[in-house]
Amino acid sequence: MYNQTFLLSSVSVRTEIHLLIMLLISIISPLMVGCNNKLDHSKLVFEKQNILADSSMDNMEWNINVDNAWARPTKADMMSAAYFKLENYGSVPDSLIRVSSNSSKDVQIHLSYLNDGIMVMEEQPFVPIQPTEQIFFEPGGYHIMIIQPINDMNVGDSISFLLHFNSGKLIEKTIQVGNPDL
Amino acid sequence: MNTPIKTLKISSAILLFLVLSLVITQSTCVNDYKVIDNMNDTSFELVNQDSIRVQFPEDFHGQYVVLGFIYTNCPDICPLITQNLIKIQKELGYPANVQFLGVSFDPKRDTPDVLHRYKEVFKVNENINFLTGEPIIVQNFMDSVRVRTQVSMRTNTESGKEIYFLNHSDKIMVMNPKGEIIIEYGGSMPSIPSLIVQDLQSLIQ
Ligand SMILES: [Cu+2]
Repeated sequence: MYNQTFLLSSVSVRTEIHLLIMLLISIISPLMVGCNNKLDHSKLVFEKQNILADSSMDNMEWNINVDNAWARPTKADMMSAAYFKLENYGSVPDSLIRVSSNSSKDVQIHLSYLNDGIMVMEEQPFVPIQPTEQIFFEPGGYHIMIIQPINDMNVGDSISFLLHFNSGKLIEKTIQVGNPDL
Repeated sequence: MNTPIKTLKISSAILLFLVLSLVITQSTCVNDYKVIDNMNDTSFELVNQDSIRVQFPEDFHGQYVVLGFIYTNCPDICPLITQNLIKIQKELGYPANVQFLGVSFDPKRDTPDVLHRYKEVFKVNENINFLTGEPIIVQNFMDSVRVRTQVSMRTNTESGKEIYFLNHSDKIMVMNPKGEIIIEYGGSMPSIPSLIVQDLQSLIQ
């Protein structure tokens, strides 16, 4: 308050009016914002890369790894999703183009993202991965959708997946059913 | 007219006032929740996972209610919302005076039986109920809480079944004992449970 009185007395009449208007605005504007308890998650929009990466250079090293894999428990003919970290330790880019599994005939690569307040889930034709890049398949983002599994998926069960890459490379991975969140 | 020093002084004064007034308005916000939706205008006849009739909001008068919106064919986002409900309940110490509801916006597929199985999968505590109902009633209910849905992907499975998914609002809400929705949160974010727990603790006291 001291600062403000000091400032008012030291400026000219014209700037004083100017200042008063600005002060009024500065007091009113936060009031208009009010108690905003709503959360805006619209920032959470994923950048989509639409370039299909391929490793055609045979002499370069291909080294993609799947880590921290898990799948959500569910009952047969309901829905589940599998998650993991994809990391490219090699020197060539590639793209994940398809996933198959013994748990269901219908397995798809999906992406969830928030668009204008609506949670959207879309099938992805491919997921490119560049050298040194990590791609996280995690809840609320990329996931491997397991549509109507053949059997119940209980905590501790194992299911296997085959990841198909655009280069023709395959990764076979056994995944534990569990829930690291709970 | 305006020397650089004067301009500087004016700007800092404005800044000071902006900060001060923001601090004042925000501090008076504690416990001061505006009514977002008054749910007492209409009564909705819904049904829970055990096929027990539920009259909303009357059956919940006198209690705080945490409401999540889900559909069971949702593998990614809705489990997060459901888990958030479970986490809030756990962090609050399973209060008997706070009700937890997961309302399905896909009543055609989410029959009480399906919701019962969903509850089993998530090992949900007794004090969390999943609600469904006649499609038209559920639609009106979702409209009244401004939860939007739209059919997104339709996929034909290998076995020839048609599956569809829904794009949907991602929300958890708190309704007060008078049947008024007073707080609305993002539903699936991991940071949500602690926010809701904080708000509920300050409200209940
Ligand atoms: Cu999906």
